[in-house]
Amino acid sequence: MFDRFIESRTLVYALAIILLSLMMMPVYWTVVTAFKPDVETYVFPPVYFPKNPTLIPFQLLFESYPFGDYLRNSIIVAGATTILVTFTGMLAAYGISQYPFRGGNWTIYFLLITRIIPPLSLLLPFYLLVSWLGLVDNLLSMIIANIYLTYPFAVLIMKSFFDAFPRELIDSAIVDGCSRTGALLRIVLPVGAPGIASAAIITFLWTWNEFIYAFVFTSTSQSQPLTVGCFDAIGDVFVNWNQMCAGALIAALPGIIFVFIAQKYLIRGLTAGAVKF
Amino acid sequence: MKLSNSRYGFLLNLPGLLLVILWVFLPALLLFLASFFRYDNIRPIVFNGLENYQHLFRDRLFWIGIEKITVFCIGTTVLTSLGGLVLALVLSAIVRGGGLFRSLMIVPWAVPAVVSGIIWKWMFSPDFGVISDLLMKVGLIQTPLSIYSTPSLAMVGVIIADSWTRIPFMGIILLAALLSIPGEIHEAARVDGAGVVNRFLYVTLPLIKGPLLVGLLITTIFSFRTIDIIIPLTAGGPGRATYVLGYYIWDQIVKSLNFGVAAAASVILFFMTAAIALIFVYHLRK
Amino acid sequence: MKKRRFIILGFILVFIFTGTAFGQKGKKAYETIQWNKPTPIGQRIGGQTYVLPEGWKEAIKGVSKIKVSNFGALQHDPATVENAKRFGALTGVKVELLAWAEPPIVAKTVSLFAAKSSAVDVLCYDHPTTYMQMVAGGWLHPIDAIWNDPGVWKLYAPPTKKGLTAPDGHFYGSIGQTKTMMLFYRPSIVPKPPETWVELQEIAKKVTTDKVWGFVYPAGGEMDIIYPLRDMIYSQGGRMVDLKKQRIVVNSPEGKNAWKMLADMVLTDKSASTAVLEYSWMGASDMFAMGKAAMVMTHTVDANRFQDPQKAPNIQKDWGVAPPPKWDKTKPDEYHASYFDIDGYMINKFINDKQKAAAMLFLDFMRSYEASYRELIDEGNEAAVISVYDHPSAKKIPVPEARKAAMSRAVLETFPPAGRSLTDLIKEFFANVITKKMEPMDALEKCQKTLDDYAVPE
Repeated sequence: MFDRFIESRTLVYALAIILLSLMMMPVYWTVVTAFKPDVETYVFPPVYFPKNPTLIPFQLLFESYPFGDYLRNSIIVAGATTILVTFTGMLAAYGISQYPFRGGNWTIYFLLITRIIPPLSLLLPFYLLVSWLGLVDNLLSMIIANIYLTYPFAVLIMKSFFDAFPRELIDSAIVDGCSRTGALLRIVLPVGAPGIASAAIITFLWTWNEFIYAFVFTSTSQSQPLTVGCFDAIGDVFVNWNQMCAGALIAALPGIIFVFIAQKYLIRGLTAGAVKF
Repeated sequence: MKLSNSRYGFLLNLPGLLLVILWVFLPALLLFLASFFRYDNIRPIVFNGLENYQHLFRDRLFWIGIEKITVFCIGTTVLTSLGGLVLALVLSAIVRGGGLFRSLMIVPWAVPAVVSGIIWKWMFSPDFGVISDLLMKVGLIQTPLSIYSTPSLAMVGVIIADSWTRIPFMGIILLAALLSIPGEIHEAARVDGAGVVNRFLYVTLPLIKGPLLVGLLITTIFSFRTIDIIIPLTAGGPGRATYVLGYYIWDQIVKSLNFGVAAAASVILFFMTAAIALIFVYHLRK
Repeated sequence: MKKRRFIILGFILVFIFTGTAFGQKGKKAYETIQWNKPTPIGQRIGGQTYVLPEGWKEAIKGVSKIKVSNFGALQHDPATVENAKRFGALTGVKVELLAWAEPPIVAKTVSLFAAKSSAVDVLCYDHPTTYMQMVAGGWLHPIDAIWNDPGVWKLYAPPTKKGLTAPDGHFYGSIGQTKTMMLFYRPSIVPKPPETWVELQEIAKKVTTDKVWGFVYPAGGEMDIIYPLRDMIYSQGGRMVDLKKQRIVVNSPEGKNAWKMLADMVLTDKSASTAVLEYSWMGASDMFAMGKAAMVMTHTVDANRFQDPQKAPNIQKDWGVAPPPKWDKTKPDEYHASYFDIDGYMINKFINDKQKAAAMLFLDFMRSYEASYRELIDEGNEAAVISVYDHPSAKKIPVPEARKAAMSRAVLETFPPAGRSLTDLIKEFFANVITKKMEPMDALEKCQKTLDDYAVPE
């Protein structure tokens, strides 16, 4: 009896809905607060659905803080990092996967080890290097740091995709006169695009969401990304929570968008990179 | 000039490798060196041997950091594992609409951690917080609760907030593992008369042991070293209730500007992380 | 014969002239400004219109812009923005104000200096807590020249000169904005504002309901607990800094009284919420603005927020300002004192000489009567130049006499170099009291011991 109950379709769906609603509660709350006027924000018990939704928090957010700058910086850093990492990573993964060389395994261990080093531990030396080079408050320093943070995982993800790639396709292309690099571009790329897309999306999100390096390397809105901008705003003189939630929403937007349109890629990418442990 | 296959492979990897050497091992070396210097941005920089490490071991804040990170790490790993497991089990039974549910499950992972910290700070607000309200409505508490006036609540608060961001990842890994179990195995067990609970304990669990360990490893390591949630939510407080080791390092870099001590603590953080990883990997290999 | 002597004389004369010419070139740009001309500094900057010192134009020729860091977002500092614009109009040098968020501002400033960067010309700093640290770092350009007139000190409150003097006898900082705290109260709940802290404690206990706290104070942000603690200590005539030993003292008799009262308010009187551990100094006045507190000590500039029906809808026409309380009836009236906060400006020594000249002019201007006038009338901060309170426009602002008196009595102390790490410890131990991890007076003694342990041995 118990078993049949547990296994019933309805229960499973009901559980899923309940559990996921709980998980989504913070997101819901953020969205709702972002559209509330001040009077509905600072009340207890809280207002669960705004009676007078308004866009004013967003407007004030951009007026009071250089949020446009933050947005621009996030886009530049995440975009540049993703392009650079995906490109170099793709080549590297292709190389390791299809053309084993002496020390190839060591390279993989190398990359795995870098995943173990806590970013927080390397924050200090990175910061020293950046300030000695005069790159404080410079987008370049963040791109460099994020490349270090995301490259190993990107390679691992793409490698596991390439490993599953039918070698015969490449071989026959080469027999047909194609160069190895050509094979990469013309055969592997189109077919392995999902893997590359996974790595790219994950790299983009990790960079977009990065905080501690961005915080230490930047000092003005010239180069601060959204994560730092949001944090700075809560340390500011008066915390406007509805504006804060508006800002939080903007900062979380790429993540949420990617999750919904690329859920399959994300899952494959994350499991591929993790399982390869 | 035709390169041999293996040379070609090597060449493709060269830029990436150089990158990693330059930007990981060079800083690591620098970190190690810096930990042996007095570098406090007040007095001149001089070599001072093991003094920074001695300072750490004498510093009560360092030990508080170790204590708190242990509690935090265990708490987060347990909560994340339970949450991820439950979600994965439930979602593995759903075929129609699975995509939507899976997307929803991943969302917390995609939100920047520091932003999650900010969101949870708002939800835990002692005066306007929605968590207080919900708990009051359900009757679990009578007056609004403040994670800022009870140290243990603060720790619970950060554990919940941190787990929220980690459950998606654990869920994904376990879900993939569960889905890879061929249906016949469940059928066979059912035919043999095993109930749901037994099936889970003796059939499912052993089969997902590998991915489970991997998930645990990653969750443990990540919760050990990330402070993105704690910084906005409690800033290590109240008092030192949530002052994890990572926060100690953060303070040394950003507030005290004592780089020598920060370096020493960072080195220790690394070794501790490595030790944890080794323990897990050992079990994985078995 | 004679010809040769003339030639030698000629050579000597040429040498002398070129020598003096080189000597002149040896003078740095900022050294060519004559601060005491056309009139001594005190008069020059103390009049209703600011007068530039002689030689300024040459000294800053070629400088188009200076970058100045600012505490927090610019929308909160309209007077600073106005003053910056005016400086730009007067000198042709554009002032670019950098809005730096408050929590990491010290770290950002120090890391800028540590990197020997010339990215920012003028750095804002909180004088009481960070002056010593900045001076100790050796990163600042000395500005004795702009303070070189005994008459200039008469413009400001008495503690200013001593406060601005660094241990080596030089000056490295100048005044940007000044503030002190006043007592805000709700007349509908508290008809007559208390004159002493003892009275305040009683009243707070009486008027607390489940909707309104009697008195709120901040204890959550970086050094917020210092504000009420310090004010209460000053109200007894006490001090927090032992200058001789360069350490912070909290367990003096005055400190003990203050600590006990703050703890009692939360733990026994229940006139303050345990959420004080979450409030930053703005959070406490937020509570007042939302109508959830009957009394609060905060900067007068907050009056702007309390007046705004959008930002403080529940307390419109129902708030008043009173002088900071003295401890009890036995204390003299001078002890109606809060702390004298100087948000100052200091000059980065790694910028070039012409930028330094422009920066010094900026500092010269920002402490003038004109600049103070805008701070008081346009923004609601206090006026650094005390005579501004006597201006007819001053009548329009809330309680000008009380504020003038408060500014004249305010106490300025400068914390030792590790200031902010030490205040962090005070915050930690006070939190332990509120969370009942420790007994109040026990925590105080342990706190003092930890503070003493942390003192940097020289």
